[in-house]
Amino acid sequence: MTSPPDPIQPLREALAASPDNVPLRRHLADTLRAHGRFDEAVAEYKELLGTAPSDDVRLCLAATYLDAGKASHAAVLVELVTGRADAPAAAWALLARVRLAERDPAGAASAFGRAVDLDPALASSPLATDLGFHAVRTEDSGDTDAASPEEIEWDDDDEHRRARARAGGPDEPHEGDGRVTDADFERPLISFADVGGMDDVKEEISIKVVQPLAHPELFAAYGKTAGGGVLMYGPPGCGKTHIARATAGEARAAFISVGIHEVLDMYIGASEQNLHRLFDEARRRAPCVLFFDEVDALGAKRADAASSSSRQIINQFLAELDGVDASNDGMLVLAATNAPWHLDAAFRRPGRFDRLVFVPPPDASARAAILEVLLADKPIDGIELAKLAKRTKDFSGADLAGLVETAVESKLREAMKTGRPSPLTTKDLVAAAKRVRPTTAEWFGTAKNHVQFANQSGQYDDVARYLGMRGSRGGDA
Amino acid sequence: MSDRRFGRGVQLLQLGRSKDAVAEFEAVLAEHPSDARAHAFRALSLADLDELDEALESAQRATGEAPDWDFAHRAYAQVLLLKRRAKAALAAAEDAVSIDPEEPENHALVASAHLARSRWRSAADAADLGLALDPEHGPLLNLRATALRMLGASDGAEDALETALADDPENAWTLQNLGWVRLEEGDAAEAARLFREALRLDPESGEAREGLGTALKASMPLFAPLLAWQMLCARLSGGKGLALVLGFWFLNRAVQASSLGGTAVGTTLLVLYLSFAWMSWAGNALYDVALLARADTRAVLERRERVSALGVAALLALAIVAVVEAFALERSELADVSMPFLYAAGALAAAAIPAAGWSPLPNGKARATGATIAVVASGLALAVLALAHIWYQQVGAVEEQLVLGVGLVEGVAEPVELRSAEFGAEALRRAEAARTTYDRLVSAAGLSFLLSVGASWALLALGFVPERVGTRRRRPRT
Repeated sequence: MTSPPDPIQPLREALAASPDNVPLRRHLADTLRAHGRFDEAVAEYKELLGTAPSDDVRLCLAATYLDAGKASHAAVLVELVTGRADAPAAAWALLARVRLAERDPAGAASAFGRAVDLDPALASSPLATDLGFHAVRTEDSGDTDAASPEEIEWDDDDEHRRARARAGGPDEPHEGDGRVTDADFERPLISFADVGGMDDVKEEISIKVVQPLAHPELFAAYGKTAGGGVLMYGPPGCGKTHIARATAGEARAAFISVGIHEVLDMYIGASEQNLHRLFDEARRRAPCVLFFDEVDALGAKRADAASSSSRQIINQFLAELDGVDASNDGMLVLAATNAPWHLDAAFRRPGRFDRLVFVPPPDASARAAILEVLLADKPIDGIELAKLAKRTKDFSGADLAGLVETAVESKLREAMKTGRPSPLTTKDLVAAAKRVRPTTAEWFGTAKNHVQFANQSGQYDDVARYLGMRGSRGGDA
Repeated sequence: MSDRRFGRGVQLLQLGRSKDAVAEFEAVLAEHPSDARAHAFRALSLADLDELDEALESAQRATGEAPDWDFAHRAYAQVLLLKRRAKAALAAAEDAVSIDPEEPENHALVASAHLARSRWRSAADAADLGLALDPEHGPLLNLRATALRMLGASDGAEDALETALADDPENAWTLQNLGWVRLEEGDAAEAARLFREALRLDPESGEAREGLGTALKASMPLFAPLLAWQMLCARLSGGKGLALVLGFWFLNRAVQASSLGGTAVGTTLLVLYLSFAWMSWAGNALYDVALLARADTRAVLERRERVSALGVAALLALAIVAVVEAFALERSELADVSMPFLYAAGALAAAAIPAAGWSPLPNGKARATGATIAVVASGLALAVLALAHIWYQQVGAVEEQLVLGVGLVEGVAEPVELRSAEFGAEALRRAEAARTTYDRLVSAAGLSFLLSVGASWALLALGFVPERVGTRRRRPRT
C-alpha cells in the first residue's frame, strides 16, 4: 500500500533549497521527461531557458514536445537551432524526427541527410531505418577507405505511395506516369570540390543557384529571390549531369533528376499532370534542385514540336518554371542539353533558363585527373599522365573511359597470346589514343555552324571562344 | 509496352535523335518482328543516319508487311530518293498515291521524285494535285516553286513561296528557295540576305550555305555568265546537259578543222572555248578562292570546298608557269622541244577539273574518285616538269650535244655516219641517250594529259554536269 518511491520528489526538494542550481534543474527536467511526465518536464526546461538559455536545452525541450505529440512546438524550437550555421548533428536528426511526425518525409530526408553529413555514424542509427535510408557506396572513387564519399539514397517506395495517395487518389492515370514519380530523388554528398576543373561553370552556378539558397536574406535585400534556372550545354559526356548533382550537394539540397525517357513518356501520355506533379514534388522537398537532363527533348522549338500535345507540355513546363500556380521559392531548376539550338527561345527568357553555361570538354589538367581515377584500379607502370593529357585534346570524360577500355582490351589480348600479363604503360594508352576518336568532334562540327550563322545574340560566344572563332556577328559571311 | 517504346521512338526521331530512335524501334521489332510501323520508322531513322542500305531493307520490309499502308511506301520512296534511285522512288511514291490519293504527303513525294529526275513539268503537276487537297502545304508549295523556277516561271515560283511564307515566315527551306528565285532574277544582294536568314534559322542547311556562297560570288566580275550557264545546265535533264557539252566540243572541232583552223581567229576561238570549258567545270572553285581570301566570307565554305579551291588555284598557277616556260623555250634556240612543258601545262589544267569536282559532285564516291585522279594526274605532270628541267640543264651543258640532240629529236639530223665523224662516238652516244630521255618525257607528259582529260570526261559521264544549282531537296522528315 505504499506507493513506490518517487525519484522526483527528492530532486524537487533539493531544488527548492537551491533554486539557482542549473545542473540540478536540468537533471530534474531530464528525469521528468524520462518518466513520461512531459508537461512538468516542459515547465522545467522553460525555466532553464529563462535562466541559462542554450541550444542544448532548446533541443531537449523540443524533444519533449515531440514526445508529448506537439510536433509544431518542437519544430519552432529545432528550426531556431538548425537555422544557425554551427547546428550540431543531433539538431538535424531531431528535425528529421519532427518532420517525420509532421508527415513530411521529404523534409525528414533532407534534415537527416544534413545530420549524416555532420556525423556519418548516424547513417547506421535506428532512426535511419525508421526513415528508410540506406547507404550506398559510389563507384566513381577508386579508394576504399572509410572516408570515401558515401551517397545516401532515399528509399522512396513508401513515400511515393503516400504522395500518390495524397495527390491524386484513384482517378490518377497510372499508365504513363510510373517513370515520372519514380524519378530519381537523392541527396548527393558530392560538392563542387569533387568536380575537377570547370571553374567558370562552378562560379556561374554558384552565383545563380547556391548562394541565393545559402544567403536568402542578402538576395532578398536586393529584391532577388532564389529561383530561375541555369541551362548547361556542351558536347556529350563532359560532366553536365555530374556538376548538376554536385550543385545539389553544394547547396545541401535535395536532387531530383528527370531523364529523357520520363519526358518522352509524358509526351506519349500527353500528361501535363505528370510534369505538374514533378514540380510539386520538388517544391515540397525544397530546398531542392530539379534537374532536367537532355531538356531539348522537353523544350524543343515549338515549330519543331509536331503535335499539339507536345505543345501543351511545353506550355505547362513554362508555366511551372514561371511558378504561375505555386511559389518556386527554394526550388532551383538546372537543365542540360547537347543541342541548345533545338530549345524553344521562350525557355531562355528571364526567370526561366536565362543563364546559358557552356560546359567544354575537360582541359588538360582535368583530363589528367580523370585518367588518374580511371586507372586507379588497373595494373599500371609509370604512367605519364601529363603526356597522355596532352595527346587527348577534345576527349570527353566518356571518351577517356573508352580510351582506357581500348588500351585494356588490347593488353588483355596480348596477355592471352603470351600468357604473361603485363601492366599498362603510357605507350599502350598513347597507341589507344590514336585509335579512339573524340566524340566531341561531331558536336563541335554542328556547333560551329550555329556559331557562324545563328549567333546574332551572342549566346554561343563561349563556344566561339573555345573554338578560337570570332564571337557574335561571326555570321557575317 | 511496345506501344510506349514505339511512341518514344517517334518522339526521338522528331527530336532528331535518330540513333536513339533506331534503338527503340529495334526493341519493338525484337518483340514483334513483323511490325510494319516499326520497320517503316526504323527505315526513316536509319536514312537520317545515312545508313541507306539498311534503311532500304527496312523500308522494303515495311511495304511487304503492310502493302496497303501508304506510309510504308512513302518511307520506301524517301529512302530510294536518298539512294539516288529516282525512278524506283517515283514508282514507290505512285504506289502510295494509288493507296491514298487524298494524302498530300504522297503527292509531295511524287513531286520530289520527278524533281530528282529533272522532270519539272511533271513535278509541278504532282505538286498541284497535292495542293488541291491542302493549298497551304509548305513542302508542296516549295516543291512547286522549285519546279516552276526550273521551267523558267519565276513569277509562279514566287507566288507559291509567298503563300508558304505567309503561313510559316520562319521556314528556312522556303526562304532559301526564294533566295534562288532572287538570284535568278539577278538580285544577288537580296538573295544573300534570304540565304543568311535561312542559315540563321537552320545553320546546318548545306543548301542555304551553298546558296549564300553563290550569291556572294554573283557580285564578282564575270561570274554572271558562269552562273547563267550553270543554271541552264541545272534546268536540262542529265542527257541534254551532256549533249550540250558535247555539242560545244564538236563545234570547236569543226571550227578548228575548217579554214579558220590555225588562223588568228581560229586560235582565239580555241582559247575562248578552252577557257569557257575549263571555267564551266572549275570556275566555281576558283571563285571560292576569292571567298576564302576574305575573313568575313570564309565561313561560307565547307572544309572540302576550301581544299578544292586551294587545289584548283595551285594547279592553275602551276599550269600557267609551265606555259610561260614553254613560251620562253619557243623563243630560245630550243624552240622545238617545248612539248613536255605544254603537255604538262595541259595535264595540270585538266587535273583541276576532277579537283574541283571534289566539291560539287553530289555523290561521295565519285567525289573521292575525282580527288584521287586529280592527285595522280597532277603528280605525274609535276614529275614531268621536274624531269624536263633536269634534262634541259644537262643537255644544255654541251653545245654540240645540244645541237645534235635537238637535231636527232626533230629527225632533221643527218645520218649518224656523217655526223659521228664530226662529233665523235662518245658525243653521239650521249645525244642518243638524250633523245631517249626526251621521248620518255613526252610520253609521260602525254600520259598525264590523257589521264587528266580522260578523268574529266569520265566524271562527265558519271553525271557531273557542272553544278545542279539549287535543285537539291532537303532531307525528308516525318
